[in-house]
Amino acid sequence: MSRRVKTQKATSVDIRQVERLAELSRLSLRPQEVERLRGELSSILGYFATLDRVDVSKVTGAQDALKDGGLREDVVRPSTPEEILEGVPQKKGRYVRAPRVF
Amino acid sequence: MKSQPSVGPHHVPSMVSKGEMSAEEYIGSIFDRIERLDSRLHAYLQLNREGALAKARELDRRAKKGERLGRLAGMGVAVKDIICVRSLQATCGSKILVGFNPPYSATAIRRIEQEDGIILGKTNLDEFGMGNTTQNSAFGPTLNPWDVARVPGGSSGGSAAAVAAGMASVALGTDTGGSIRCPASFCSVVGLKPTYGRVSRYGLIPYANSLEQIGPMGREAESVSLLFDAIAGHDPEDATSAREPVRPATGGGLKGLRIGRIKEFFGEGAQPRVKERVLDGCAKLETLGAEAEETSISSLPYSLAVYYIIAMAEASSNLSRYDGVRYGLSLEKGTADWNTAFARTRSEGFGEEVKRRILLGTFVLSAGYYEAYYVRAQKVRALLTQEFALVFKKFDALLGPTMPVLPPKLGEKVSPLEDYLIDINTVAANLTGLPAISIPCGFVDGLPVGMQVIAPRFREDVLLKVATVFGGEQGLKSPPLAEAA
Repeated sequence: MSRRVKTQKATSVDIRQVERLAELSRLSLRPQEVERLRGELSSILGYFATLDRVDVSKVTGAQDALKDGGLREDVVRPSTPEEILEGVPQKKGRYVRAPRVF
Repeated sequence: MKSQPSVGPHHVPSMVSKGEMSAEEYIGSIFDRIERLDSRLHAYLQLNREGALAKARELDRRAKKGERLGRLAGMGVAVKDIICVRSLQATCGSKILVGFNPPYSATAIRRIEQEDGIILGKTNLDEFGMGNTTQNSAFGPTLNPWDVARVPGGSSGGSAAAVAAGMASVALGTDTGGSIRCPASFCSVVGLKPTYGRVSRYGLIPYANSLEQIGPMGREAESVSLLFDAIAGHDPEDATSAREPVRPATGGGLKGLRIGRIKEFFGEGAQPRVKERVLDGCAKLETLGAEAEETSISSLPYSLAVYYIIAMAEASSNLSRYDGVRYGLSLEKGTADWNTAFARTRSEGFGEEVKRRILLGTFVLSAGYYEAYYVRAQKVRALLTQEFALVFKKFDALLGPTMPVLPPKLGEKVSPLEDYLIDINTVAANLTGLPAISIPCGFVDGLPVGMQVIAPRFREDVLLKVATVFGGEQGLKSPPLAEAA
């Protein structure tokens, strides 16, 4: 299990990458958070790189979570729209109010 | 009835059914204990006192009329606050869900209620189940009843502490990478992570869908068995729920049970005295008729990296649903555009650990890295599963320490990576979908040690038998704090 396999793994990230990840994740980070996360993410990714040591060349396919259960018919059943709407933070009548998109 | 009845919680249903015990008094005595103890332990986030007592009175009335009551009649169940109970706020230990009242109950909750179990309240947890100390809760940590200067483990720390201190008959936890077994180990209770698909996940607020299961926790194996029987079984509401029939718990001894001691579970990271206790436990199982032998699963040391890659990937996708628009926290009332509003609510609403996992999950799924991290991790996961299947040709159960360490001190400064490393023995059962249990296995300097046993798919009956026989031999000890109450 020790054969090295080539991968394109990055074992550290820079400030710009952390900022890009935050943007993709819809998180806004303060500058000191970005710096702290850069170090933390790099050390965790370095640990993830230990998987490079495993020979996975003979593995085919992954586990199938659905093999026992399976899907059910899609049947219309009574719902509770009023109750669900009760939890909406901002609404107008029966509409959910969202931030503008354009 | 001021103190807890001396009977174990698993005797409660038959006593309540026969009218030998008042459910109202029993449940009332649990709430009295909560009042005395929980200001120090902080196991509960929310109590269901009125609802629980009303249900208890109803059970007493029905028992009086000679009606047949359910299998859990009168048992008080604490519920980890990541499982939906209709009309009780669900927080997941996060600020982002504040104010969210689920319009429905999880299947596990509905089944408990059908069997006349009584929901006591919602328990504390690491935010969204991400952690092993319960310190990642937005509402403050839970303390360990055995030593309040230490963590109870996590993420189901509130459920474990509640059960250990007698503030619940039994509890529900959830386990994505060890979150039932870790706090069970640190609080000296029995905690079972069922086979993937054994218990419906409908109504469990998701963190990592391919790994997590709801499971029972209790001071004795018998009450854990009762709760497991009530919640296990196929549910059409969860497409990953298994159709395999639930095996009934069997009595009998351990004669001929083949146990494999997993060498890697006793690795260098494990504290010597923890290893000793678990080896003593294993020797005891041998005197009870089991046959133990050392064995090895060579890909186990990689399981932690595999687990964190997959769990973070799934978390980053799952947690994208929190947008501050449809439910929970919403901070932007002004005219900001969608992305700004979205990011503001999420940045304020999520804690540090959650943000870290979302960022890393986004990274391992991003173009250019997906193959190297996520796909590779899935392949190693498949290897690990094959290796376990092979070992189970020779053994009926596998054994090792649940946690390689004793409960850490509250507030101990460790890096995120160091914190992840103590999950090394628990994550494999989640990656492979196998059932696993943590059984109290003695103490080191007054601090609990847990023994983990893993069985083949759907063989929870084996785990519960080992726990019942072993527990019967060990006897029950209570935390000093709970004894005084």
